[in-house]
This record gives sequence, C-alpha cells and structure tokens, in this order.
Amino acid sequence: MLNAAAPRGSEYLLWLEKDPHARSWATLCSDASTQILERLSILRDGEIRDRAAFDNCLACHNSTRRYDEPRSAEWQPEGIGCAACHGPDQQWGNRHYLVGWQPKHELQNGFVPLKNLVARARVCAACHVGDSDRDMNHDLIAAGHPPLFFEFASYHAQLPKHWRDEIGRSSANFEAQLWLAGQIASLDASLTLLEQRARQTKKPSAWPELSEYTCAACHHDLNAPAGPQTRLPTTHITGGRVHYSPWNRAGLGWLLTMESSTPSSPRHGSLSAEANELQQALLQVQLAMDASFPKGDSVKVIDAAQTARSALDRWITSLPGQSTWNEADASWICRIAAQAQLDGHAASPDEKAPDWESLTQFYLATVSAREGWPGGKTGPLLEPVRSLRKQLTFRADEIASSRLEFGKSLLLIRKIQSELHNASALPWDGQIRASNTAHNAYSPRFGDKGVPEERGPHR
Amino acid sequence: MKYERPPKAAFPFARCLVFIACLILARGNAQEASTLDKERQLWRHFPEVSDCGACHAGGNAANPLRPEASLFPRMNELAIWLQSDKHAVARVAIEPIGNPQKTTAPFQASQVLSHQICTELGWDVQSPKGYRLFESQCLVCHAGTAPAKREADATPHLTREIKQPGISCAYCHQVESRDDWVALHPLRRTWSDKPHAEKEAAGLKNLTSIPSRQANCLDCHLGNLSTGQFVTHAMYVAGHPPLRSFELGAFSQAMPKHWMSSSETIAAARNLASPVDFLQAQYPELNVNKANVSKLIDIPWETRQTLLASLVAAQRSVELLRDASKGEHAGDYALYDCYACHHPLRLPSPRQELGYAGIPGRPRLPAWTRTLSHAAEATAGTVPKTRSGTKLWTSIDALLDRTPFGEPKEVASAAETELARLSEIITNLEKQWFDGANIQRTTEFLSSTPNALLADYASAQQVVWAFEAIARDWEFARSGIDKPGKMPAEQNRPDVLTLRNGLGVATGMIIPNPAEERLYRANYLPANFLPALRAIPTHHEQQ
Repeated sequence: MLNAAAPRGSEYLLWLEKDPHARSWATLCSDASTQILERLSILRDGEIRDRAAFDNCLACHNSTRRYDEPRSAEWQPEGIGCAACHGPDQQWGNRHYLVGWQPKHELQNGFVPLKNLVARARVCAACHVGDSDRDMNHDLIAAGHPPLFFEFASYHAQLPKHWRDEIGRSSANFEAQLWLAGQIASLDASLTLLEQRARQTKKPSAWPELSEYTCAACHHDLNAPAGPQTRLPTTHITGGRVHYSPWNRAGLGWLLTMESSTPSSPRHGSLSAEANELQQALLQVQLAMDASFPKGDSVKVIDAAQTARSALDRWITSLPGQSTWNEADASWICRIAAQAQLDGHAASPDEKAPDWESLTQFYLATVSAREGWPGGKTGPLLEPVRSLRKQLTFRADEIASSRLEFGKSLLLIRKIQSELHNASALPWDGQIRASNTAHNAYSPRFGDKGVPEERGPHR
Repeated sequence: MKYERPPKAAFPFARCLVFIACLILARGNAQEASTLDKERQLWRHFPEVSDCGACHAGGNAANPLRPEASLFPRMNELAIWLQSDKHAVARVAIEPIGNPQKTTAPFQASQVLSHQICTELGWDVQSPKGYRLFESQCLVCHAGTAPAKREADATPHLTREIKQPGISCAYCHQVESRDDWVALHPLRRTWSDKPHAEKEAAGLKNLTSIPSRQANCLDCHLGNLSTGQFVTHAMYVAGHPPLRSFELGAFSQAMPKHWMSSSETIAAARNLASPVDFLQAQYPELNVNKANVSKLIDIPWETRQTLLASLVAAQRSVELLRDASKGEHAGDYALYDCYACHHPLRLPSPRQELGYAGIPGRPRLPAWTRTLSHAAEATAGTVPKTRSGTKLWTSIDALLDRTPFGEPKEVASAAETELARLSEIITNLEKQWFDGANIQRTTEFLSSTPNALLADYASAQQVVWAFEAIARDWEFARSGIDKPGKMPAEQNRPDVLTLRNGLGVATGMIIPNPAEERLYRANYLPANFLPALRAIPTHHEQQ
C-alpha cells in the first residue's frame, strides 16, 4: 500500500505534461492574449509599453522575476512553476530531496506547506482571486481576459494531482473541507484585493473597480419590452444599482446562517460572538460597496474590508479543531459546511439567489457535496444538479446571465433541497460517525479516480 | 395679402371669430373631422393652442402653401399638429392610469406603463403629492411644463380632470412666457426681415438656425438639466423606454411637416422684392449679399444640417455631463452610454474585436452623440485648429480613463474645455458655404468612421441617417429642387440601401417603431455593418 504522505516522484512530469499552470506563459503569448495586451496599450508594435501593467500579468502567468522587482532570479518563461506555489526555491530547491529532509525543515527553507487545505487554497486564491500584487480587473475583462470565478473544490478536482491527500483517502468530509477552505481563502483574498483597490495606490487599480460587482447588474440587454419586471429578474431587487458581487462571500454567509440553525451545531440557536461579528462585518462591506458606487467614499470600503478581514481571522481562530482541518477529523464544522453547501438557500431562495454568481456558487457547492453523497455522482442529486448546471451555462450565442430563467433555477434548488430533506439520514451523519471511530466506512471517490466530468459551468 | 393681427387688447374677440371660422372650415372636411378625436378637439380650446388656431388651423396636411396668406407660413400648421403630430399626444399618452379598462384608446399600453413607472418610483399618483411629482418630473418633457412652477403651484388647468395637450406650439416656438411676438409676427413686412436676436427678444425662438433648432429638440430628446429635463437611470429602471439616438434630419423627415425647408424658403424668397434682406436675416452666419444670394440654393442643406446638428448633440451631451457633475445627478448612469454597460456578453465579443476608444470597459458619454461629430469636425477642413490643437473629447476621455465615471469636479472642468472647443467648431462650420466638395469629404469621413464608434446599433444608425441626409441632397440635385454645386461623380454616390441592410433595418423605414427597433438593436452586428460602410466609394472624383 502506498504511503499517502510519501511524494510521488513524478510531480515535475505531471506538471509539465498535464498541468495547465505549466502552459500559463504560453497562454500569455497566445494571439488572444496579445490582442488583450494591445487593447490595453500594454503592448504596441511588439514592444511592452507599460511595464507595471505587464508585471501585473506576469504575476500570475509566470513565476520568475518581473520588470519592476528587486529579485535577483533570472527571468525565464516557465509559466507557473514549482516556486509559484511552493515558495521561492533558493533554499529548499536543492535540499528537499536530500536524505534527512523533514517536514520541520520546510518553513525554515521557505517551502510553503500545502497539506493544510486552507494554506493550499490561499496559494491558489492569490492568483485566481487576486491580492495586493495581482489585480485582474474590469479593464482586463473588457479587453478579453476571462473573468475570475474561483471555487477551490471545483478547481482542485480538475487539477492533475501531483500530490497525495491523506485525508482524501480516508474521510468523506474531504469535499466539505475543501469547500470550506476555499470559501475562507477566497473571501480573505477578495477582501485584501478590495482594500488594495479602494486605496488606489497601484496602477492597475481604478476606483470604483467594476469587477467587484455582479456582471448582470449592468450587462443585461435593453431589448426586452419596457417595464421593470421584464428587463431583468433582479432589477426590482437592485433598483437599477450595481450590486457587490456575492461570489466570494455567499458560501460563508450560508455557513454562518447554518451554524445557528442546525440542531447538531454546538452554536444552535445563536451565533457565536465571532460568527456574529463576521456576519455583521460582511454586511458592512456590502453596504459600503453598494453605496460607494459610483461616487461614494472609498475610505468606508477600506475600513469595512479591514474590519471584515479581522473578523474572519477571529472567526477562524474560534473554530474548534481549526488547526486539524487537514486531517480526517470530522469536526462539527465539516458537518455544517457540508449541509450549508446544500441548504444555503433553504430559508428564502428568492432573496438569496438573485444573481448568477450566487446561483453558481450554490451549484458548485452542491456538486462538491454530491461527491460525498452515497452513490456519488450517480446518486439522487444527479439530475437536478445537472439541470441546474444547464441553466447556468453560458452559451456562445446568447446573453446567458441576462436571460437566466431564475424561476426554473429556483425550482431546481427546491428539488435539491427536497432530496436533502427526504433522505432518512444525511449521508454525512453516518460518515462522520464512522470516520470518528474506525476510519473504515465509506470508500472515497476522489483523488486518483480522475477528474470529475462536471464540476463547473462553462462560461 | 396684408396679414396683420389686431392689437392685443382686442385679441379675445377677434380670436374667437377667426377660431369659429376655422372650426367651420375644418368641419367641412369630413375626412379630417373623423381623424380628430374628442380629445384633440378639446385641445383647440387650450390657451397655448387656441391663440395659434386663430390663424394656423386653416387647410390640412395635404394642402400645400397658401401663398395668398403669406409667402412663408403654410397656415395649416395647427391642423397638421392636431391630426398627426406625435408631440400633440405626448401628454395624454402618459396619463398614469393603472386600470386598463379606464385608459384612453389607443394609449392603453403607455398609460398603464406610465402608472407602473410612477409606482416603481414610489409616486402614488392617486395622491396630490404623488401626482405633482409626476407632473414635475414627467410633464416637463411630455407637456412642456416648467418644473419650478409646477413644484410651487399646481395650476388649475393641469389637473387630472382636464387633459392638456402635449408639446404644443408655444413649447417649441416661444421663449419661456415672452409672448410679444404673438402680436408682432403676423406683420410680415416689419417682422420677417428682423434679425433673429430681435425676434428672440420678443419671445420667438430661432428655429431657422440648425444649432438652435437641434438644441430645442434635444432638451427632451437628450436632456437639459438647466430646465429640469432629465430621464434619470432610476426612471429607466422603472420602465421608461431608452431614449433613442436623435438625428435632426431623420426625425424631421419622420414628422408631419408643418414648416418650410431651407430650400423651400429660399425658393419662395425669390418672389420678394428684396430677398437679400430677408435671407440675410434668416441666415446671418452665411453673410448673404447680392453677389452670393443666388448660390444659396446650391447649398446641400441636408448634409449641412446633419453635420451641424451632430456637433450640437455632442455639445448638449457634454453640457448635461457638466451640469450633472455639479449637482445631485453626478454619476447618474443615465449620463453615460447605455450600451457601454448594457451589451451582450458574447464570445467572441464584437466590442473587443472592434477595439476601444480608450481603456477597455470604461463607461463613456453616449456613443451616438460623438459618432458623427468626428466626421463633422473633419469635414470642416477649413475650420481653424482648435486653440489647444487637440481633437475633441480628449480631456473627458482622459478623465474617464483615469477613473470610471470620472471625478465630478474634474469632469465639470474638462466639460467646459470641450464645450469651448465645440462652440468654436460649430460657429466656424455654420459660416461655411457647403458644396459638393463637402459632400464628398463627408462621405469619405463617414465611411472611415472608427470601428470603436460603431459598437452599437444607435451609433451605426447615426451613420446611416447621415448618409440618408447626403442621399436627400443627391435627390434634390437630381430633381432640380436644389442644385447643390459641383456634386461628386455619380459613381461616388453612397449606396444607402446596402448600408441599411448592413444595419439590419427594413427598407424605407426612417425611424422604426419601438418594437421593431428593439429587434434591430438586438440583432445588430458590426461585422454585417462595417463591410457595407467600408464599401462606400471614397475616392474623390468631381464631375
């Protein structure tokens, strides 16, 4: 039997041959990317004219040094290589394979430990959401860059794995933990980026940053017959104003709600002080963002984002067992996270799913949870989830987000919820108990099985 | 025929007599009477209409000029307005009525929509306060109501029981409440040759001047915050249909005409004893004199009108931005190009393929207001360089590139700079004697309109309308009504039909109805339009 903790030895080849990160430099050199660079006047007549803006591209498309950077490393077109995720390799690069290398040496030598799922998700979120050094903004999207809709569990499942997840082989909670880690990392990264953007200190940023808002609030067509109800289902909710995108905060919002409403939760009936603080802080961010557009006070946004980050940090610290998320320990939070994945819209789906972003997060959470359901992909959630995906999928020839049939989507959500409530026992109950005792229960369906076919809507 | 009105004191009695006579005449035409519904008949009695009806209700739409009355007015203006001008029903069409059973045919849909809009905006039109809001915000354009007066005092005739006419004579022709001109204007010999400034002092707007006429229309068709005329984004969200792009020539063509075109006026002026005096007063910017008066008829007036009006549209758009930036409407989305945001998220994206005028993805001023202004600026080849020597829009674009929607104070300041430039260009262009060379140059510049300015239907429609104006000048030249001098060679004549096909618009339709326009707007593809536009001959060949 394989030692789950042992390295595979084929990491580099897997990365080189199958990992899309290895092609990220080639992507930046493609015709499509060249056009984007030209539309943004970063590239003109074959020359880079705006080095700061190009550095912003390099930050995520290449892991070696950039123009405006003191690093002494040579520039090489390698895409997102080992060091991009595992940390600068000046020290660990020549040591990590030596006899005697221990996990305790990792941090000392600049090796980022990625067994912890939250740490792993944070590394991904730095590019796939953004941070103070990486800003994939609305200008880039308008020029042709695909918008970023990062959901860790889905992306994780699609990567050709060059590692082994011990927890993945022994716990049915793995998907829930991945989902939760992703939600935390995405929220934190999005708040960091938001604060950075509102400060307006870096060139790629321009405030107000339009990509912070839901796409369809603006990008819906005007060709429907006149009347507020017919132009867009959300018009009467948003009142014609932009709406701060819930993409990176919807999931934790559901989880916080579930924390107090789930009977098995230790916090049943009332939110913990930390959860309450986080919930309020996120609300303040939303209010500051909605009010700040287009001429509002960015200082309020900065304050709200900072407060929310601190609240998130305190909430994470307050979670029981938070330090062992990377193990097969089935803490209550995994149970709640799993249920929140499915039940996030139970209270009032009409209010909680007014946009493509929320609905798609719900879909992805549902898919992630489905992987832990008995029968897995072929279980009772197969059809409603698949139908929901069809609803959310952009087709090339139409304006999907503006023609999204919310009524149908909500019916599907209710069907999924109905499956959940009709189940004699939630699958995780058995799994959690089993994993708490003998680790012998359910055979996992992730890891080496390959990439699931359906993990995300294709835009 | 001597055409003088009695002194003002005797007005009511004389007016009544003439009015009754006009009514009798009008009733003599059964066909006409059948087209005048009850509502419209009532409007004849409203002060703002009955004054004019005393003289201008004679004849009907099919009746041409009445030279026996005067050389210039048709004398059937009011009849035309009442019978078929949409402006007449602008007010009744939006009476906010929630119950479809109680609506006025044929305005069921628009009246219900109006009620829906008011409700969405939080105005309870059943209450006096809510109804006053409707009056002050909506009737300012739909009935020419002055908003300041409305807020202060709900005048008795503007109540629900009495439905006033829509945009009436006085709204377009009179400067505020100055009505001295009413008694003065029938005195042809002492009035017609007066300079416009003098007429305006007496209260008659100058609608001969293209910039002035265009500005008058744009108060409603684009907006004017100084008079409280502004469709806010909240109104659009509540259901107000998007304001269409406006082109003076096309919209004038679509209107039932109650005026004389420049060509007709100049032709009629030949019968005057001293046409120079009259035409000098009419077109002071052209410095008409004995030497050049005979060439006035050669001007391609339609092309001139389109180019001048396009610059005024740009000017008013910038004014709107400036005024909004100084007040509560700063950053209102309605100030910006609708289609900068409200466009399909298609892949491949036509907008990306066309390229952008500045940083991609930034909201800009309504694209249609600048589509032709580039051609207008360029066509005026003899126009001296602007003071800064830079092109239009650069200062505003730079601000919108720096910050989405711009910083209001900076935007207001940049808008002043642009307005000064626009004003300079308009003044210079107005002085130009257009000829065939201008037509050729306009054709060339229009056919090379930058891709980035043709991303949406409304902008492309402006180009088509401009070519239709050129086509009208060709038609006039061919028909002999006008003889625009030195028209380009026949092979350089633009193929408007192909261009319209590229736009996706049905042949012969100047301004599509809203439902059809929605379809055209949704189906517009630059990839279909651009080849037709670029195929227009641009090489300069003179006859």
